[in-house]
Amino acid sequence: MAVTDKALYGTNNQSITITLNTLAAGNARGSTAIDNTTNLFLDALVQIKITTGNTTESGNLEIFAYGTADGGTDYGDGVSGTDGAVTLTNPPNLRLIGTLTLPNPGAVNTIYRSNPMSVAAAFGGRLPDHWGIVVVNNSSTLNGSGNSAWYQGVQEQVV
Amino acid sequence: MATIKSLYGTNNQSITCTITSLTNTSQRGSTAIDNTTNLFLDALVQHKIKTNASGTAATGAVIVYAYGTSDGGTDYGDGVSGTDGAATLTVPPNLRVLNVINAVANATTYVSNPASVAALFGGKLPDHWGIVVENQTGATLDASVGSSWYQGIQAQVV
Repeated sequence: MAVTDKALYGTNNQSITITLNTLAAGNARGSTAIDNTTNLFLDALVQIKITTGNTTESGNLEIFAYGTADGGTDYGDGVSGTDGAVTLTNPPNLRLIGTLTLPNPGAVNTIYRSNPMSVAAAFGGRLPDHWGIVVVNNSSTLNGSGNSAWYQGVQEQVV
Repeated sequence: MATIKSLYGTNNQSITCTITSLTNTSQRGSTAIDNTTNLFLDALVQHKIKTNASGTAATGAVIVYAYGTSDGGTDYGDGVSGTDGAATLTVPPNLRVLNVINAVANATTYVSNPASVAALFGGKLPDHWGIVVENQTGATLDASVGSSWYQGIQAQVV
């Protein structure tokens, strides 16, 4: 009897711990690493939402993914694995998973949302057992509130 | 020995997106498609459009983007609403291009090739997804011919 391979979605809107409020222009912030050793997702679709500050500057935010293959001792490009400021190599030793572009001219106190971005795609289709994101702000200082990141894990099921 | 094969969902599943009479440079977002029941691994999307009787540019085109969510639909990419209606994407858009339909002659019907939605999300289809259609033909699209549809895809082990 034939069996069917279908998608299996994890709980949506899983928060990623990363402080993006008031992230200054030119700065990068790394998230706390997400431990995938229990859920064992095949992939994670990440979204971010940002609120611009009081300066009408265009530009973009770049979203990179980091991971590990030694349990978290070494994360890519020296990212710490905890929510905090990051200094990436120039150019970065992480792969870009998406860019959130702000219009030119920009608008103050305005919300912009990214599309879902695949983390596994940055690792050849395989999600590391611990992974996170780094957000680089190539625009003006973000608002003091209304900035966040979340994900939804994805598996497959055979029924 | 087990073999993995494709398993096609019902074809010609309508996407609710009113693109008839879509004016030049305007964008229209579709109603989001809920994939939490069918659980397709991917969706192949096609479109049919018809250009105006006059004013079509020699370099005219219809551009189709895909949007999705990972919070159940509270936030769709680039602020798309998730219901059939006018859309205003960021310039440049924060969505990826799903298809470009070259439409270069007046009063002509064009049909796109199928395009994979999951490919725009690293190979994973969001649990709710849709399209945004942008008219760059140079003139308003036809008032009666214009539609989008999809066929879902899974895999089976036989």
